[in-house]
Amino acid sequence: MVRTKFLLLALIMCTFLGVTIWSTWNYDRAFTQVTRHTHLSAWALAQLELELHQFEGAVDYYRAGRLNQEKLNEAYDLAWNRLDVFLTGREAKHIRERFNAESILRPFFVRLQSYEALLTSPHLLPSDLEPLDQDLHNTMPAIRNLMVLNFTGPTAMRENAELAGSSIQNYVVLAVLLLVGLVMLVLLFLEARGQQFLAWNNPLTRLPNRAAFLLHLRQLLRVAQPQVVLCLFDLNRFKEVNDSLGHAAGDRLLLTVADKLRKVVTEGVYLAHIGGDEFALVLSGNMTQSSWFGFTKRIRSQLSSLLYKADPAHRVSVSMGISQFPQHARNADELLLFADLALTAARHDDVHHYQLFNLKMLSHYQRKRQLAGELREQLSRMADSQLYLCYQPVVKRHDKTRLGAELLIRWNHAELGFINPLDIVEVAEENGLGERLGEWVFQRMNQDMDRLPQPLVRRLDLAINLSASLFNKQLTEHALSWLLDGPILPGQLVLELTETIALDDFTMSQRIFADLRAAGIRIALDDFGTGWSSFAYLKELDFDKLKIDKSFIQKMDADPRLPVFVETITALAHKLGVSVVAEGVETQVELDMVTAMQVDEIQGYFYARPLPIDKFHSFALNYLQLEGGETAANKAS
Amino acid sequence: MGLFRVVLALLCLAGLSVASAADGVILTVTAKGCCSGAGSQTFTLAQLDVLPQTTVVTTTPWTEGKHSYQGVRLSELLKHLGIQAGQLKAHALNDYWAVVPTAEASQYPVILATRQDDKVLTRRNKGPIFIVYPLSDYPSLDQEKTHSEMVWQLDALSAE
Repeated sequence: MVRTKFLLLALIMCTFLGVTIWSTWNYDRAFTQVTRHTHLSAWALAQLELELHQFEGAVDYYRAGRLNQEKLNEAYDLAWNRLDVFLTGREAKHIRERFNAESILRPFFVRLQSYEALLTSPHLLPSDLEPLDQDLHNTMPAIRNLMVLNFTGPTAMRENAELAGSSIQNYVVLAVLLLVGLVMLVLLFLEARGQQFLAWNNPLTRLPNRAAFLLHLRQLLRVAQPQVVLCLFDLNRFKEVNDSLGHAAGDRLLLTVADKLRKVVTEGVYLAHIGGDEFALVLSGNMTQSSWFGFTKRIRSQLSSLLYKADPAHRVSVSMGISQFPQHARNADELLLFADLALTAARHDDVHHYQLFNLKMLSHYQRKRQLAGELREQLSRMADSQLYLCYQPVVKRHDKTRLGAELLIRWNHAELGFINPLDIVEVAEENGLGERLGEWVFQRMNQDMDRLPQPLVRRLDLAINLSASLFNKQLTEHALSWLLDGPILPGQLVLELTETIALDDFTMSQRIFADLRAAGIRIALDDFGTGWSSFAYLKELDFDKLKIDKSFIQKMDADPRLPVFVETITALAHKLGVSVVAEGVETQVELDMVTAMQVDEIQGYFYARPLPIDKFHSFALNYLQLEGGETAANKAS
Repeated sequence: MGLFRVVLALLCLAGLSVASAADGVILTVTAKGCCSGAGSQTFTLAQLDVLPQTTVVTTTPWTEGKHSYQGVRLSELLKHLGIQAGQLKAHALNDYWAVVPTAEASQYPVILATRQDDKVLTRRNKGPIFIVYPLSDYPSLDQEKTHSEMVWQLDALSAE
């Protein structure tokens, strides 16, 4: 397309250039013809005739005794000069070369010169001039003839015709140039219109794009509106269609959706395609709550059935988020933000995929934004940070000389109180703070451990939860460098991984595991049994530990099926050489049961809740039966 | 003036026409208030030769090849006569005339040529005076307008 356009433009330019050059050349030729050939040669010929005629007259007068010899000689000299000029210079060259002019005039000039002696002779008699007079009388008609031929002969006519033709050609050239100019203008116009269209429309579905949508929304709300409903929706798992069936299939699906939506657009409904798989409907005018509610619901169900048919794997579904003006939002920006929040909530609503904005969504969003800003700040501090670590003991059944502990992040927010640890991790991950959070945990652990007596620290095994962004190729390198600043050795470190960390690439994960193992760092699979593919993980990756989720442990005594799981998982893990940790052990009964099932390590409230470092210190001293009071006191001071 | 004509006629009758080229009047310059109030002045070839001479080598549309032309600069002559007109009418023996701007004459070496290749110009060869522009040295001058101002067989100059 671009190539064709370029070629067309090049062609037009070439035409322009060619026509211009040709026209200039043609004009120049015509001009030269008019001036030099016609104008100048006509003048030269006319002067020649005139002066020869005057000489002829002078001869006649002299013979009649009415002119003196000096005047005769002057006329002779003028005729001589004129013939010389006519036969010599370039001015008369053109006419000289036509109609045998030179062959007539040169011999005549020679004959004229031969009368010089006679004419200057002091003894000149009028009768002596008879031959000259005769010669002149004979030659003058030939010169007259030249004049006539030059003006009316076929050559002159042809030149005139050429001139007329050149004038027509010039008109043609102008017309061609005009036409080419018009074509260029049209092309330019079409191009500009195309660009303009693309600036405001999605190139695929040709629906208004995000910019057009925002403009429409702002303009709509500038004028007082009784009610505006903004309905945003997108296609869940659309990316998978692109990935598995190709982008052409994805595009087709979007076109189908767009076509379907176009059909529902009536007065008061504005439709836009505002992102890859995101569309917007703006409903305005007088409509009742139930009418637009029904309208959006209808669209949702129509799209759902359309998508169900369009995607053979039935993965794609539609999520819809709705906000209202003026009930929710006060302006266009708020309306859009609220609809976006509702859409986000709808995506997480596995049943309906449909959410109407409510204030809870806004406060949730604002809280997250607030937390993001504050987390960044808290992570830049260490000693006076509102963040701190808790250590939940993990008891080893077979080795009472060592104590394990899982590090858990805590945030005692000045206004909001304790923040859910899952929220902290989520906010960090969503705002690109995942790695920073990991580093902070390591730094804080180092600081905490420095406060404990070294003999105690040496007997600890510490487990840190990995967030998604930490699990990358540099994990080992980062962990080792962060450990350098503290007393914990790589051999004491356990990294806990949950299934939520997407292990798309098992090959890369295996490489990371190998690096960690080579560095002496152990890896535990956390929350085992809650994910979709726990066994796939266990199959593909070499874990050191497996932590059975507390949902299997708690109420074990009430549900006879749960012990079966725990026992079997433990047996399976042991056969694979993986040790087993039971999480969430709270009662003596549960402890007895997991002990009977040969679980290797036990974590839970039965032993201890997650403890701040000082309480953990006491717990550890007590548990490990260490006389650490003095050392600990020294350290603490 | 009448007397002069008579003398000239007598000389001609005496067969001294060749001598008249050297001795006779070949140029008449007319300008209001010029020439010590006389309004006009005539020149013989000898009188023109007394004035500073300038040589111009050039081609012309009416001659073959380059030739060397010699004569008084037009601007020099005007200075000599104290004429300050903007343009002059140059008149020829064959009644051709052209208007010559004096500005051009002072800007370029425009001469009233009386000799070509050291030979006195005769009437048969554009004499007695040929206004020569330096066409070869200033190609921009080589155009029809200038050509029309290169009057040959010049016999009178008048300022209006």
